Amino acid sequence: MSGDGSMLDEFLTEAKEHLEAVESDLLAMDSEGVDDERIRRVFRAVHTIKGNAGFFGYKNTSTLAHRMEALLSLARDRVVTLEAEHVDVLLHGVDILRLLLDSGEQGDAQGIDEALARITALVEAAKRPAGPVVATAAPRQRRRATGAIAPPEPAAAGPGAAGPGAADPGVAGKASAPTAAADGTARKPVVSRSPAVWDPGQAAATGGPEGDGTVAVFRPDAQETGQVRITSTDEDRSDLARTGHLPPDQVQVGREQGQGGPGTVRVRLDILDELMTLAGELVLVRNQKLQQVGALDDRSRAIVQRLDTVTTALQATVVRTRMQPIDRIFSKFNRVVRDLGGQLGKRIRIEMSGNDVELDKTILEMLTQPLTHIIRNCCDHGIESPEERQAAGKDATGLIQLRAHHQGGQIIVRVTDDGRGIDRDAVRAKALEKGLRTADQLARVGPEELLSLVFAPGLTTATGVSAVSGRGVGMDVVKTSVERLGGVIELHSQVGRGTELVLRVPLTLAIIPCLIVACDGQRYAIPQVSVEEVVALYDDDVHTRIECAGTAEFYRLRDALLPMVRLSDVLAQREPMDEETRAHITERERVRRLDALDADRRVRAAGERAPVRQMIFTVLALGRTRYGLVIDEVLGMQEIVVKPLHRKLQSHAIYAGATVLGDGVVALILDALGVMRHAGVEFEGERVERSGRLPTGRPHQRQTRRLLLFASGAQEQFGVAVDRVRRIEQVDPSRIERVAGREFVTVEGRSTAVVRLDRVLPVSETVDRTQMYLVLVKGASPPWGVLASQVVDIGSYEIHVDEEAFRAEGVEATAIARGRMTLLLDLNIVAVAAGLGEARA
Amino acid sequence: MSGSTPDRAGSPGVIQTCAFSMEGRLFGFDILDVREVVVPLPLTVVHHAPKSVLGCVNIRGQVHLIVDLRRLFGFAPREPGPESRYVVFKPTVDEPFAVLVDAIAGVFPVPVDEIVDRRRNPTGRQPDAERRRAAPPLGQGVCQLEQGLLVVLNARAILENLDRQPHVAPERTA
Repeated sequence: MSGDGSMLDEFLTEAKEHLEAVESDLLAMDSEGVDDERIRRVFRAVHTIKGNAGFFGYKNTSTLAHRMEALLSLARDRVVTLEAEHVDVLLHGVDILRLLLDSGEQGDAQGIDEALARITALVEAAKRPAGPVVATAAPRQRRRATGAIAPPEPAAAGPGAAGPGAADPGVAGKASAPTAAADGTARKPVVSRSPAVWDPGQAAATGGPEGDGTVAVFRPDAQETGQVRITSTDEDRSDLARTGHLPPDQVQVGREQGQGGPGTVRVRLDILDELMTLAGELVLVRNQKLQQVGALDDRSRAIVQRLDTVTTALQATVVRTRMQPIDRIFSKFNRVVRDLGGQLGKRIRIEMSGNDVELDKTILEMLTQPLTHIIRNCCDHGIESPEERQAAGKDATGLIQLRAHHQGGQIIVRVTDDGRGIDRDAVRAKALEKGLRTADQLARVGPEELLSLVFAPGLTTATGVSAVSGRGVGMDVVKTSVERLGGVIELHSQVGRGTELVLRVPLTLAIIPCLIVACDGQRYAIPQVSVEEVVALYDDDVHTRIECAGTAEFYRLRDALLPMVRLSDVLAQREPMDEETRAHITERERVRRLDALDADRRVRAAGERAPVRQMIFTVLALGRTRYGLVIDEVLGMQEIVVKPLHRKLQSHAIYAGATVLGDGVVALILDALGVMRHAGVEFEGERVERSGRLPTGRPHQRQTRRLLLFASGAQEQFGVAVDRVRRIEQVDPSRIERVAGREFVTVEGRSTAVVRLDRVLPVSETVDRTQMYLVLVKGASPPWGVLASQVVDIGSYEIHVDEEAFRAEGVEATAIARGRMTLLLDLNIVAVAAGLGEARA
Repeated sequence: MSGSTPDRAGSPGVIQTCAFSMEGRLFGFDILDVREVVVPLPLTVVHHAPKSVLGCVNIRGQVHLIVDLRRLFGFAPREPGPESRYVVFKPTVDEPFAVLVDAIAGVFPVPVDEIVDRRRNPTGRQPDAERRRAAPPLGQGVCQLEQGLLVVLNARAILENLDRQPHVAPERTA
């Protein structure tokens, strides 16, 4: 069984395509009813497979196809009506045929025999006594195709032409009259020549005793059945005689409708890949040229622009060659759902939309397994039995909806079922039982996030393991697969109503637009699909706009709180960051900001210009989670060719690949999800996003402080940490002296500066009383104190950052003390603002 | 590549080694594994990579991993000097990578049967270091040449050994 390798490949590919179409039609007829056109199509497809299989020596395939053909012809002739039973048997036949083709006919004899027997049984049951007999062919054909097989007897070619399908057009063997070849020249058909046409190693006898298989291959009229049509010239004939093979480029393959249409051509995948690489290289060259453009004259610039336009168009077109409609995988699910439904005793139907949404072939292939698993899960665990459903007031037939659509640079695939939903309590219990989370952790987790535990390895709430699923090894693999593609997966569910899974995957892998950024002198690329926006902060905003809470830093972006991560921190640390590290970083940055703020103030107060401060961060979004990544600079947007990471670097989740930039230097592509995980942002981020408020901090952090409460002006209540206060001195305002714009009073023999809060903060004017107080700051040199009109209390109060925080320099936080909002002073800043320099304890 | 050695290239049982020096010692790779030797190019640091990985470099459009042999062997790292080179290996060896060496010494023919496999100890005992190793050994043996003792290295073992802790430099003893 051999022949030119590529012809065999073509046969196998085509045969499998035929089988897909057959399966699809059979399923359609099963649900919608028998249709003449469909039966004819199925018949022709099976007939083609039979014939071609024979030509390539796939005897068993040919035999089985032939038997199926018999049943189909009976159906076509209305001798038998196709019912579920027939469809089942035929589908089974399709499966066996696939097996045979895939394994090169090493498939098990049992499977074939069984299939043959079942079909025969149906045929027998349906056939009329005078009908064509198929059974006798069986024994002879069951021999495996090993070694040389005798070429067909010319005699067999004759009557064989009739075959079970009497409607078949006349075949060469039968007609001694010459049949016209495609070019119109009448000649004897090739088949009647000597056996030199066949490679002796090939099996020539095929199909039934009719032997029509081989002959059918050379049928000149190829339109109906998509057979191999040979356009032969005299030269070719002599070629044939000599070599026994046709030069491959003389073989045209006709096409059946729906098999790609008349205007298509089949291209090998590796050629497409090369095309992609070349287009990518061209993109790089274009980028290099664009970089060079600078001071070019108008004409050169125009040429470069044209180069740019053409390259972009070329790239887009090449990318499209790899795009395939998602229908390729969607259409399989009809069968899956049908079979599973039958197996599980449930009634399930599946609705699809967006089948023509296109995505890259590689991504498509990698989505197949995860989607299949999800659908199987829906059938097995999601959809209830008809009785359960009816008891719940639902339709007895469960519905699975499979939808796909484009959005931005992504494909969104939704799988929704109207089944029983996921019981969060069960998830919680199972997580606890398997030791995946502690009770404490589970208590802190919100309902949406609890569902994400479904993706944890080993977790299943299925009460039993079925043959289909339930071992708890599926969903984590699904998640990993989706993420490996650069996608995300989300789960939503309502008990009793159903479950929905949303997958977001990129359109294409190979060439993507990226934001090029710099950090610590190196360049990195961030895929544009993850970048939502870029924010730049200047001057004091750099220090004041970042808030801390718990162990993390946040930025208030419009209505949402954005967790902040520094790329340099992520890069500096090999292991994913734990809470301790994050706390350390947060504190380090908090102090750094204060220091910088101080320094700037002092410089400004001295009349000089403070250094230009700038902070840039990109807002990265993945599904519903967002975070800010602080970088040094944004260099621009570029389309880059993604080169897969070296094998030795693939375990590093923060990188999605590498690319070569316009100037020939390698830049690593960051994986937004990987970076987020490495920084440990995920957990925090979700919590914050949902509530819109900052978490109140970890239990082990100090939440209460001992505060001294006092008032200065009529409106506000101020607080100061008790441990920053040396003591409170009663002061007679008339003893306050003014020197060079500042106020002093003598305390314990020392001249102590007096600070009125209304001079340094936007607060109400200090109330003058006959008796005032001076809150002396501990460790201040030279000594100073805050002037207070009233001392309210000393006590322990809980500190928190309020949404309505009073923002001003010098106010560190707010608290609710004695029923009033209290402004906690940051004495360092107050001192600096009052021109007193640092006042650190 | 410089090479001024007596020509024994055609003799069977002789491998040509691309030899280089490191910390005063001679090492060499089978030249059949070597694709080319280039002057060091602008390097992109890969954070989180194994310590011996210096980073990535673009060589002819392909992203190559650069391994610092000094680090791999446990020598103190050094800034590349004017003599430093990248020895780039063929795709048949592994995914694209190259090693940074201090200086190329030349192409030396090494008779295969004169390579002493250090692992096979006359006493039959394997040195502890060898036993602890899970990855294929970097060194295939040593050979006494007129230029000195040459350690023949196995290019295919380099990437497998990346995550190992740097160990004491080989062959303290003959």
